[in-house]
Amino acid sequence: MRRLNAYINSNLNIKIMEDEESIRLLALTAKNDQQAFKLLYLAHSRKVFAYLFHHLKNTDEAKEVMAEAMLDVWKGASGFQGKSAVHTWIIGIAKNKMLMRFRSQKSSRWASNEDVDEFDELVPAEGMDPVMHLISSQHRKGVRRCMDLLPSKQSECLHLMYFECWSIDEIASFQQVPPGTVKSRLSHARLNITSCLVRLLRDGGGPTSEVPA
Amino acid sequence: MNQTLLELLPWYANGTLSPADREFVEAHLDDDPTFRQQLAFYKAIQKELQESIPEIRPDLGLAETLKKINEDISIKASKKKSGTKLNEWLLGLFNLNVIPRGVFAFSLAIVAAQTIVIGYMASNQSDDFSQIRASQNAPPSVGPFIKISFRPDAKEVDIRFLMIQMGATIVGGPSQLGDYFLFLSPDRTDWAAQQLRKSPIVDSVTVMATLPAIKE
Repeated sequence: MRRLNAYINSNLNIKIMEDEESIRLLALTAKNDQQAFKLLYLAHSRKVFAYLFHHLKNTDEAKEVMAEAMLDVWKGASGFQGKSAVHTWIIGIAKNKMLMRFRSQKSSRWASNEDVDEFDELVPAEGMDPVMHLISSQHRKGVRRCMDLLPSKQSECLHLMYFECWSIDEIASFQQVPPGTVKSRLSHARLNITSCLVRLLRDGGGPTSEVPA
Repeated sequence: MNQTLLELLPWYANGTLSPADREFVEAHLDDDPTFRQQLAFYKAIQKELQESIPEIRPDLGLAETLKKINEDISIKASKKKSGTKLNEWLLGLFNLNVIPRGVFAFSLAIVAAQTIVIGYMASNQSDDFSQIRASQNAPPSVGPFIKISFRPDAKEVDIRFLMIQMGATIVGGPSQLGDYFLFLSPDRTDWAAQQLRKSPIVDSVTVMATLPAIKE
C-alpha cells in the first residue's frame, strides 16, 4: 500500500495500475475499506470517464454516469469473480449504467446499425488521398465528425483499441463477440472513415467543411 | 499483399502484439508502402481519439461518490441502531437485563403460529386468498434459471414485454453488467430459452442450475 501511495502521489496523471494491484484493492473495498476504494477510483477514473465521454460527448453527463458506476463498484466489489480484468469489469459497469440511462430516456443514442455501411462509397476516388489528409491533420474537425458518424459498436471498438489500448481478446470479451467480429468491425470502421473523408474532400472540403450526414 | 501483416497492423499500432508478432511486423513493414501508410492511418486515428477526450483530474467526482457512500453507511447504521433501541426498550419495559427464556420461547411460538397461518393462506386455492398468493415474490431456490442479456439498443419496455410474454418471473437483475435472471416452470425453461434466443433484442441466453450469489 505504501508503494502504491507513493506512486499515486508522485504522479497525478495516473496510468492504469497492474490488474493484480486492482484485484487487491477491490478485495479491500469489498471489506468496506474506503482508502482502498479511493485508490481504485484514482487509478481507473480517467479511463472510465474517457469511455463515457467518447459515447456521451458531454462532460457533465459523463461525470454523472461515472459517479453512479463507481458507486456500483463500491457496492458490488464482492461480486467481482475474476472472470475478466478489473478495468474491463469496471468499464462494463459504466457501459451498463450508460445504457440504462439511454433506455430510461427511450434514447436511440446507441445506434445498432453496426453491420450496415451507411457510407455508399468505400473506395477513395482518384486523385484524393484521404489518409494523407488525415495524417497531415488539416481536416481535424472533419476527421472527428467522421468518427462520430460511426455506428456505436465500431466506434466503441476504436476507442477500446486506441484509447484504452486493449488487446483483441479483451475487446472481444467485452463486446461478447468472437475476435473475428472485432477485426471485421475495425475493418468497417476504417473503410467508413476513409469513405467519409473522401466525400468531405470531394464536396470541396476545406479544414472547416462539414461532413455529409 | 501480406494478409497476416495487414491484420496485425492495427494491434501493432496500439502496442498489444506479442513480441513474436511485433518482430514479424517490423521485419515486413518495408515490403510494401501500403503497410506504412496504413500504420500511419491507425496512428493518426489513435492521436485523434486521444486528443478528443478532455483531460480530467483523477479525483473528479470522488468527493461526491464518497459522500454518497457515507450517507449509505449512515442509513444502514441508523437502521441497525433502531433495532438495538427496540431491544433496549423491550428490556426496559419489563425492567429486565435479559429477556427470560420463557418469554423468548413464547415469542417464537407466536412467530411459528403466524408462519403456519400465512403459509396456509398463501397455498390455499380459493379466490379469497388470491391477493395473498400474488404477493409471493421470493425467488425459488431450485432451478433451472435463465440468464439473459439484451442488446445495448433494447428498450426497457420491450425487455419487460418480452419477459412477460414468455410467462417468466424475474428473480434477479438487472445485474451490474445488465443480466436478468428468469424463472419458469422446469418443463418450459428450455422452450423459453429457445424462443428468447430468436428475439432480435436478445444478446445472449444461458440456462443455469442455480442463481449466482445475490449481493445485498
